[in-house]
Amino acid sequence: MLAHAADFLAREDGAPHEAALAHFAAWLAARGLDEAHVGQPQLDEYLYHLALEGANSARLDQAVAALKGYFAFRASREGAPDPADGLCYFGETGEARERYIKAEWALSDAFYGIAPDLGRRGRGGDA
Amino acid sequence: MAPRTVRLGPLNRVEGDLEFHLVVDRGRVRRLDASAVMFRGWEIILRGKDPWLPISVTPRACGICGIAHVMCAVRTVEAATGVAVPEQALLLRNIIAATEGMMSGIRHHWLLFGPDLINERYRGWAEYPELVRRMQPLTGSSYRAAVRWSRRCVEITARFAGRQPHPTAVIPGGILLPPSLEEITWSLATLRDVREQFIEGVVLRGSLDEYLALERADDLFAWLEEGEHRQGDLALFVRQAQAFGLAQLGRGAGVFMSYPAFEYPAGRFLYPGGLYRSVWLYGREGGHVPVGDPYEFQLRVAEDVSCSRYRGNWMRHPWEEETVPLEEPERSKYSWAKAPRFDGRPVEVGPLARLLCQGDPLIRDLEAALGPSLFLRQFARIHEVIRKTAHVERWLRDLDPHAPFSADVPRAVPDGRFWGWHEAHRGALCHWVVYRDGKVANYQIVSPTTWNAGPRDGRGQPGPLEAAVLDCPADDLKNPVEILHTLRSFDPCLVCTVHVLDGDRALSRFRVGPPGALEA
Repeated sequence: MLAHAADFLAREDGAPHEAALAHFAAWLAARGLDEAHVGQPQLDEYLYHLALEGANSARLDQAVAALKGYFAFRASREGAPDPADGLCYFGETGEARERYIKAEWALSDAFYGIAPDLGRRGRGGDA
Repeated sequence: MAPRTVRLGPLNRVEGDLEFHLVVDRGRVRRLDASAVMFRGWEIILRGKDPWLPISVTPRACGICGIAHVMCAVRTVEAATGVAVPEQALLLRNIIAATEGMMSGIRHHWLLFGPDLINERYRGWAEYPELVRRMQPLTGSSYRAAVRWSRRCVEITARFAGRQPHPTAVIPGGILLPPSLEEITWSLATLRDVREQFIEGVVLRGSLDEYLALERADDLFAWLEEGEHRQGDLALFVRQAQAFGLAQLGRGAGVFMSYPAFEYPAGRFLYPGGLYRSVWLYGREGGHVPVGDPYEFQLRVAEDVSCSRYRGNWMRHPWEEETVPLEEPERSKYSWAKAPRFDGRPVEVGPLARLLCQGDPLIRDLEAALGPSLFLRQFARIHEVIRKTAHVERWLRDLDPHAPFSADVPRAVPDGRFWGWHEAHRGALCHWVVYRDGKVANYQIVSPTTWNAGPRDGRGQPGPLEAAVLDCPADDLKNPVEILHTLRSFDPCLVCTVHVLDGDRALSRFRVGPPGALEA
């Protein structure tokens, strides 16, 4: 059981989150992890574990909602960092994906040596 | 009654528009000329350019199959430089390409082929009202589901390919950036949604695992009639095909070809490729011939321009080709597409070809029992989407974000002749290239639609699509639904509206609209 789970569930009318938090607590226990040492890498790994179990996006979103709610509550109680702050819901675009979208190397004429005089300016319209 | 000439089009394809000239006599199609009516000239654009340029240029040949083109383009550079691609990069490329194919397969059946299934010809069928409720363009329940869930498939493609269309992450030596655990997680969940909501909820109305265990035609037909499965779109399509003889139409020459594709683990291919001759048509002479030596296999490909709008009347291997378009060619040169040939003969490519060469037990059994047809071509397309759902799930599970996803590749490319092949959703795709003095001296793309919809060759042999329509019923030229089914079963990248023309006069226009607005 997570340290502040009972208070969180009582305050938040958190019945929808109860099963999700219990599942997370069981996963932590099975791995011998203490919630005090949970950071975003562990949360990412937990969500990955859920996906390997066959979770669809709705179930993952439920888990993200429960984790975000619980760790925000814990952070407010303890004044500690919130490890779930950076978790994304389904369909949100994180920084990693933006890096891909902005990858412009493949469009650079200068890269292919066919427009060397353009230098860093690239195509028309670019500053 | 004298034979009539009918023009049917436009039927768009991957690289442009297609139209068909039919000669109809005594209620049957006696000849078809498939004409690609637009010249794009990728080969000319690339001549003299940097060897890496095709990696970003050729995916722009098509907004649908861009991944397939980038796969071929990077493989030409990898072949030239001799780089060994890390296994995890092979895996990720498979996921990117397979989800692109799933998107394409879903959109083809439900958005492009599907509207013909509610043609007024079928109005008297007992299940017609239900068919309209599902397949009516824009408003049908299955049509809308296909729009939604095909988009979700391509979200996985874009997540790992950087973007789609016009991917940025597939580079020589591997993948530009390794996937994060978060991206793998959400891709697994996305695929689970596709599986539960579309494959199991709409297509099968049953378990994917149960379906994948079916290996014989009889077992398939029995399963599709069991309980809830009967309500699935697949069962409805099979019943319609049985009721209207769609498994007896559009057979074609029954010779199929595919390239080795979807490599993982290294050296092993999900689709091993090769040639397949129809067992139903050719009996003991039918069956599979493996690729053997890949170099020798690709050497057996040639393109013929005798009926194409290019200078000359030759048949040559792509490395030996030239691309000199003719602005005013003689009448016999009726298409901008060249005519690809394998060992000098036309071959059909696509999901059916891939699965037959792979040895898919259900597709092989259906082919042996029913023979090739427009039905089997279309069934194979749906079957492959279903199977790919399971393959992609397994591949996603095998991804290790901590493993290497790229290898160093020298920027300079040695002179020589190379090729890069792949199986696009529509079939075999290959880029052949000659590098000379550090530049592209010759670049030839032979795409799936060119294989299927290419024109006649110097020996008068029709292309696969031209052959498949021969003897097709054409009693009602205002509504030649059997011909449309056959043409579209090759998936030549069609639009939803088809105009049927007799000379310069429009005979009929098929409209997209709400239920009840089916009339021409």
